[in-house]
Amino acid sequence: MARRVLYPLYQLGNPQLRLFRPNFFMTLVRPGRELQPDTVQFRIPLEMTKCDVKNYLEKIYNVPVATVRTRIQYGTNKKRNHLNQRVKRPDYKVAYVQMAQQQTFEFPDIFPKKDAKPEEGSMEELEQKFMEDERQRQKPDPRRGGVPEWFGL
Amino acid sequence: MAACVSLSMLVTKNGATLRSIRKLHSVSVNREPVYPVIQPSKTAKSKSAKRRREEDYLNEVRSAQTVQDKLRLLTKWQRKKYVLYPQTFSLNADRWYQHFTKTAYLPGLPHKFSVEIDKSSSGESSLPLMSSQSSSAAVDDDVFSELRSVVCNSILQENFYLLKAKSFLQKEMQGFVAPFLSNLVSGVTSTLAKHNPLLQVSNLDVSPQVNFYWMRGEWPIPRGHRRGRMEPVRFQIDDKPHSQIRVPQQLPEFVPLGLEVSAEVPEIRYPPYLLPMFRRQYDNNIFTGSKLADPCSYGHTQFHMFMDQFQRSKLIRANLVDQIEVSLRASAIASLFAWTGAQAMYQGFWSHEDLTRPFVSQAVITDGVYFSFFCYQLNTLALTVQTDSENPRKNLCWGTRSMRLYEGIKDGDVIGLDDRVLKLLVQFLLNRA
Amino acid sequence: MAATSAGRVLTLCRQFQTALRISSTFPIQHSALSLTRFTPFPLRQSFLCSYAQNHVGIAAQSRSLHTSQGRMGLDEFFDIPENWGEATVKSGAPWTAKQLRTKSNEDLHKLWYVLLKEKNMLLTIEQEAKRQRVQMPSPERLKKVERSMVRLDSVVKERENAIRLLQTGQERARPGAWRRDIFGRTYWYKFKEHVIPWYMNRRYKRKRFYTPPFVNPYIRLRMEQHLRRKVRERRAEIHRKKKLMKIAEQSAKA
Repeated sequence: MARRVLYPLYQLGNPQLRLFRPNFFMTLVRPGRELQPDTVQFRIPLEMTKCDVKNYLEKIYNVPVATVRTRIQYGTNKKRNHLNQRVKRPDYKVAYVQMAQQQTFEFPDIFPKKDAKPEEGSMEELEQKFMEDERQRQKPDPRRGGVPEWFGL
Repeated sequence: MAACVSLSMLVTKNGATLRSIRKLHSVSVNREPVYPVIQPSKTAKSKSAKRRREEDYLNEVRSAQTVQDKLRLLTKWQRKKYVLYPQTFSLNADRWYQHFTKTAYLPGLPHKFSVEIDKSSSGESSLPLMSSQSSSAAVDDDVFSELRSVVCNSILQENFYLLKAKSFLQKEMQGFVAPFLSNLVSGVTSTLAKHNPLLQVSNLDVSPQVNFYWMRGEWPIPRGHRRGRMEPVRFQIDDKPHSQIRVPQQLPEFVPLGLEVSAEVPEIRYPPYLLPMFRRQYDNNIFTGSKLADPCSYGHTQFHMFMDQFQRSKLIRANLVDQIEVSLRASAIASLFAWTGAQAMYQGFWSHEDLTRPFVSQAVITDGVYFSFFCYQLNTLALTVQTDSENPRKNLCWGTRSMRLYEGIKDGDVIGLDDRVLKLLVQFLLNRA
Repeated sequence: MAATSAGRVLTLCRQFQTALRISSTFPIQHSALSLTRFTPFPLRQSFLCSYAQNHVGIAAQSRSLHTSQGRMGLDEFFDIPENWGEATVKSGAPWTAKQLRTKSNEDLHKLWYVLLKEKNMLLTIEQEAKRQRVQMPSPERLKKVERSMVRLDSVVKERENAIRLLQTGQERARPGAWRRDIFGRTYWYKFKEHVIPWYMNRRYKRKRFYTPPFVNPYIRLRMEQHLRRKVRERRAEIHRKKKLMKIAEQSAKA
């Protein structure tokens, strides 16, 4: 299961091969096109199989998995570097996992807009204050009533 | 007409000044037109031309001389189409299939059968099947015990009398259930032929081929030079039931054609490839299992055998217990819609000439031990986008949960043979016009 | 203080450790996370285990909030909701090999899975940040987790090596031998398991692990070539140095 590991030869009837320190990492991604509510999309290493994904989620994350579908996404090689050579982005595998037991999943918004308030006495606060003052200074004098600067004494 | 056209142009140009003239001329317009009606071009690249081509095509199909020509015209254009597999691994396929076929699912059997079940269950056990007022003939005790022995014999034949070698992986159904089912079907039908004259003139097909092709909904083309244009979504079912009975007379409808049914057809917003389904391009086929000239052109009952891959134990092992009934339902909806739809097409109905009478068929799905019964009534074939709007009709499917026929086999005896299942089977086969 | 994340493991462990180091008899103080079902453990018992138990306890409590049970599982791919939208998330230092060597095998095994989940979570956040084109909060956490994992791996391998040396005396996990190929080159051949013995294995027998005598002059030639190249390289190096010296002298004069 894990990457770059040589396993003992499996003969039918032997106990299942066991894995102690899996070095597979799965990335849960927001689906590009809308999926069914019970489907979750993952990016997984190319070596991982459907059975691996199922076992991984069931054993490590305790998620009931009904089916897994995978495809391999070709990383583009259209870009060129400064020597006009093609630059390849790495390929990866995409897994679509359908969960059992009528479970649903929706990708949450993990970067909600919080009103950022700089800390007291920090560099950012000073900067903001300075910018505010400058803006105030740049404003035309309201007492002049919109008369341009060059006019008058 | 030509005068009228030029005049309207004048009116638009000069406004009110010419209105009086128009009134004078309106008398002459009503007369016999001098020129033929101006029709949009057939070959131009315009919306009206496209509409005309479509209209021409529909008229051509409408005016086709024979049904054969009609079918040829309807299945002539090959495009990529979604292939529906009645027995599928997809999760919750039944709701999708209901959407594709515009079928409302009603749990339980139609009124006709359920009444009979209630009667027989309320009556004494000595009277296994009460005769009903409807056309189905009475089956008395002797016949029923004969049927029981036929069923027991066909079960024991495969599982006890014959010494069979262990079958190959994934071929168990082929070795054990297929011969059992053929014995059962031929035995029971021949016994019941005395009581149902329709069965005497029926045809029994073994492993026939059933195909159906239809269009439903539309979807924008995702890529290519025609990107963004709406295209009808095409579907094809290629079904292979274990056996089926065809009859020369149509079975009576379960409910009248115009009846309002409260059950809703589920609406699926997602594209079909998420089911997942895949698109292929090959011959569009519409076939009921026999050619057009066959007099037995109406369906009676289909018998389906669930494949090895979908065995109960496998689904349970895969933690998909809730999918057992779902897959059975999906299979029934898809295969019965295909068969009944093909029968209706054989009578000359299609999406723009909708049914004038409902079509009815029945199905029994089994994996050797568990039996489930389904009835289908086809009310409409108008599933395309042009004909689907403002069409209140929907197809109906009734079905039971799967029931166990027998518990097991012990010392050459079938233990716990369920009479209710057998009765349902008898009722299905006794259904007649 | 934004409650911790990668670091919520690391800081937690750190704090436990310092607490243990200071005095093992004191009841362990509550750490950054206020753990409701916390019970002090004896010294020998692993704090990681306690972490896991507490984590499970949290899961059990918050499970009633969710309609579905498995939601908790997929929630572990995200940071705790208090950290969503924060610019920075505090985290502790990575595990050092020295710290890891004091842990039992069982603890290391558990810690591996904690780190694995943490890394999955961080990768998910990183990808989502890339997608939304915002900055990932505290991206240094990824490197910390990776380092911890590498160190943990090396510690486990050390132990495996030690056990193997004690039990079998073999230096390598995968046995092998120096062999010569058909061109007379010597290389390390790694042994692997076969289903059938070698004399039945036709593909294995096709391989040639010997050097025929007529290759010998070519071996000699190859050695010569190698030596020549070495000499040439050395000479080029000397030449280059001389040239540089010359330039330096000239510039010094000028």
